[in-house]
Amino acid sequence: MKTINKILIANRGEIALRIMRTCKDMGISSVAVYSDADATAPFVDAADEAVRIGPAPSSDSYLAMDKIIAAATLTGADAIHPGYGFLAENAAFATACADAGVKFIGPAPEVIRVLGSKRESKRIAADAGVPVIPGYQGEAQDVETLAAEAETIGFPVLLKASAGGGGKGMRVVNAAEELVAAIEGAKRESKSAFGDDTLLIEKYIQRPRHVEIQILGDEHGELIHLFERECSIQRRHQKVVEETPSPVLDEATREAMGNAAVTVGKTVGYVNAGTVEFILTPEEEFYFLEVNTRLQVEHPVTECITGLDLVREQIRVAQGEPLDIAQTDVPRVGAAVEVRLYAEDADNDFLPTTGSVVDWWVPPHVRADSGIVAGFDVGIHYDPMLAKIISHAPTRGEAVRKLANALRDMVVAGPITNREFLIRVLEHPKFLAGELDTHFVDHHTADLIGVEKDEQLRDRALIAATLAGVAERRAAAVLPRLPLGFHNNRFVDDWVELAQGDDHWTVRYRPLRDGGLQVSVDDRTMTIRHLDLAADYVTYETEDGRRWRFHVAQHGAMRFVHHRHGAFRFAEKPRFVEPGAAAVEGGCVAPMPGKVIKVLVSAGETVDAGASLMILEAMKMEHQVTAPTADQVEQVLVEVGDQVEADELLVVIDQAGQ
Amino acid sequence: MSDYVVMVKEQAQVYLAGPPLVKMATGEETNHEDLGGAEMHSKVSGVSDYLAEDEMDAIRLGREIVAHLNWKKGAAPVPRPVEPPLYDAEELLGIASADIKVPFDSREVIARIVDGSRFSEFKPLYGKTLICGSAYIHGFPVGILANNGILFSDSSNKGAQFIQLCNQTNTPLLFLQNITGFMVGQKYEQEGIIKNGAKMINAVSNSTVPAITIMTGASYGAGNYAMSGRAYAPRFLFTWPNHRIAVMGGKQLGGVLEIIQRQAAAKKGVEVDEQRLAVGKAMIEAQIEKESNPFFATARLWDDGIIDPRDTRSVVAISLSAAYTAKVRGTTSWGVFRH
Repeated sequence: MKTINKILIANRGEIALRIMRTCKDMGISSVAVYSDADATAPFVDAADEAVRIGPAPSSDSYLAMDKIIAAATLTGADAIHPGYGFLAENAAFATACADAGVKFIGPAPEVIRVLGSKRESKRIAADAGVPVIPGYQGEAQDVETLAAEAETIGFPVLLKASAGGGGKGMRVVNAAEELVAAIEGAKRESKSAFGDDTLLIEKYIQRPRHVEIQILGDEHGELIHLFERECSIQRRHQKVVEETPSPVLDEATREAMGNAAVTVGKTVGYVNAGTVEFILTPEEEFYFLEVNTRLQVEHPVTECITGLDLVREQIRVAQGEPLDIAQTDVPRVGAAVEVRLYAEDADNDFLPTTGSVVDWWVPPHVRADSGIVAGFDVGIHYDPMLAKIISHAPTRGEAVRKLANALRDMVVAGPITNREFLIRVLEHPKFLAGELDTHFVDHHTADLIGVEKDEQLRDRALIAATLAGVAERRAAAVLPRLPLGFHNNRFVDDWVELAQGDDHWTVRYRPLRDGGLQVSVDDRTMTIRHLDLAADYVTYETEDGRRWRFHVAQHGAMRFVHHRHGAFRFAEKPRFVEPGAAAVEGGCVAPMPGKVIKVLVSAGETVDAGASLMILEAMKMEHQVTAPTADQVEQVLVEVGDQVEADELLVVIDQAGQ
Repeated sequence: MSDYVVMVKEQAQVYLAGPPLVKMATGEETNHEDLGGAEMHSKVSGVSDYLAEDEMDAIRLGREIVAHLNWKKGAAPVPRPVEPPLYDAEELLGIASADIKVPFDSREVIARIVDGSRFSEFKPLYGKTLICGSAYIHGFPVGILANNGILFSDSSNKGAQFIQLCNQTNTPLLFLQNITGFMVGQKYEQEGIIKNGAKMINAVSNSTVPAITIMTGASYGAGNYAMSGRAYAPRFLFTWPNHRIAVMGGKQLGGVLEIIQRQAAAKKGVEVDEQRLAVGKAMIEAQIEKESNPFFATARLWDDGIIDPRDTRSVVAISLSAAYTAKVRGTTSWGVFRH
């Protein structure tokens, strides 16, 4: 047994902070490594020591094994915790750690390597008698062989990158004629994401649920499971809501799945924390999917119901200590639900968003694992997850309502997030009823995506945004206590123009003699009273005696208005516009920040409406920029390799050219 | 001669002589834009410093210029917490008299416009028809002179002293004018109302601290002068819609004219044409009544505007703030006070 005194965390953001928390609890020193982009990130400050390891791109920092090992040597760390993502499931890194005499907190390199291959792991599972999905995992990777295998398995089939995860390089194919194009696309994506284009094919299950089992093994051959996590709510093949226990699993299936997971783990001699993923059919048949040889993003729900600290267990195991809990003694108390709060626009195909987090507050009665604070810049370099919010309650219903309610109260001003989308998922009757599968988001799109906001609430939010903006009058050097909006001339009201997307409104206000304020949004006039302008909050009463309380955060011209029933982001329009700032007509702009990886057109070329103009890569996903109309390309303003910002003009299409 | 010149494109033109005169003087054929358009002056002659796209853009440029003037307010008073008055401004509507013959206590007005309704009255037991005292309005110190009746010798002397004190302490003055004039009659002439009234007018004339005058009721005769009427150059002068302004009232003027006409007739030994006299008197009364109206007055720029009495506090505050743009400094040079 070797006591660990100092752990280097080869990760960033919330998981780095999460690991540090346990380090503190266990009296272990922590070392953060960080890239240039994270120089001011909270996790760097929270660590006992920190080492800058390189520029923003992951390949030069969080994936640069030699730099991380060097940082461990420099600081005298005796162990490395890889978190999840980055180098967490990299056998070469685990080997490099061992070579450098630093303990890698995770399974042995050989186990990582074997389980890292989907084909290998499936073979192992199948050999151990664990059910696997029918499929093809062969070496032959030519299109003909793959096509033939797909036919044998029977449509629909799923194409997957052998080296992949997280939905990258994944394609569902419903019919034979789509197959060739899908194989090529999946291969390209897989190659760019993982440097390996080996594909595997499997039977596509129509209404699958994603249920995984947490396992924990020590170096003395003991291995237990910590029950399941239901992770069926996904978007773009990535989990957004996770819970335990699963609302549908009966005890017999739970036990069978737990035993299957333990069997797989024991077969490979698994040590440390890992997760065995299964597909569960509506008939409660389960199939082995893969093993994640790391701490999962969603590990907190398991911690909630078992009362265990999984990071502590990982460190104890790494120190060579035996597990101190038997399978039958693992507690299972209540239900826990987790949501992943992402900087992404659910109403715009879940594209990642960026920007400065202007304000951030989470109610204290739920667990928030987050790596951000107010003032933090969400950039384009890393995963756009801002936080995990977790609730734990005696029953599933209570846990879900508690979490939805906390999400309603939490303030996240700045980048667009999926907060409201998550609330809609949690409050959806089908979700509450436990009727879910991995297509939940697609099946209930109308209820979850592009939901129009209540106009009355929007008007009240506009008023709050306007009054928060003029509240600075109260701090003015000149006559700060004059009534808001006072004019000697009673034919003119003070006004502000606010915009959200293509919509814009004019808000006017004038003081009333009784201390109230007459406010109008466009032509809708109302009287508000008992206006209270605090630093962050605008509170007022409407004529019906109802009290409205809005959190308003301001950043430049932006006004982020938050209310329990909806959040808004308004831009105050300048009263005086500099000439020449008008937008270029007929331009194609970047839908999001990213890197240009392919330019498909050149100036002078005529394109059809909807034709691909270029491909942007952002957050490791490819996004096509398409032509809005059939016209001539007048100018291409970017080239391959350029880093572009959202709304940056990429291509000018000459609409008059036709 | 301007420090900065902003010209609006295709609108502003400036030249010593227009195209017709240029043609007559030198024979040169030209047009307005080439000769003196905004673009030419901005690009070629340099007469214009900024070329604006349109009026809004010109305002934008103007704001930008002002933002860089590096202007500081001249020694504003020490900031202090601003308390609203304890009494409701709404009640000013009931306090102000629609009929100027009905008097009201100016303290009721003061209580509704000064910070915390706090008023430190000067010489409260002496010359009681002129209220003098110190207060703050939106944190600005101010010396208030308000009429509670006509001016007598004692109240005039008190006013003159108070104006001198405010000059000594560099405190702006607020006149709340509701005055039908100086007291007339034998007793008062014997008291020297002329020289005592002159003292107050002398003080108003020589005072250099900013003065703001609000006409809250009557403004008649020399009372208008003593209470810093238009001719005594207050920085701002606003009126309430109930106020009346004239050298004297219509009835008084009609009566005076009647007396004079009767005396003239008696001198000549002729009969008075009673009907003509009555018509003339009625006409004079009607004319004075019409021309005493605040709308007649404000239309002739005798004031800076009629305000809602309930806005008085805000309007005075803005006026004081504007006055403090320059340094507030009282005088020590007063000419001759007749004693």
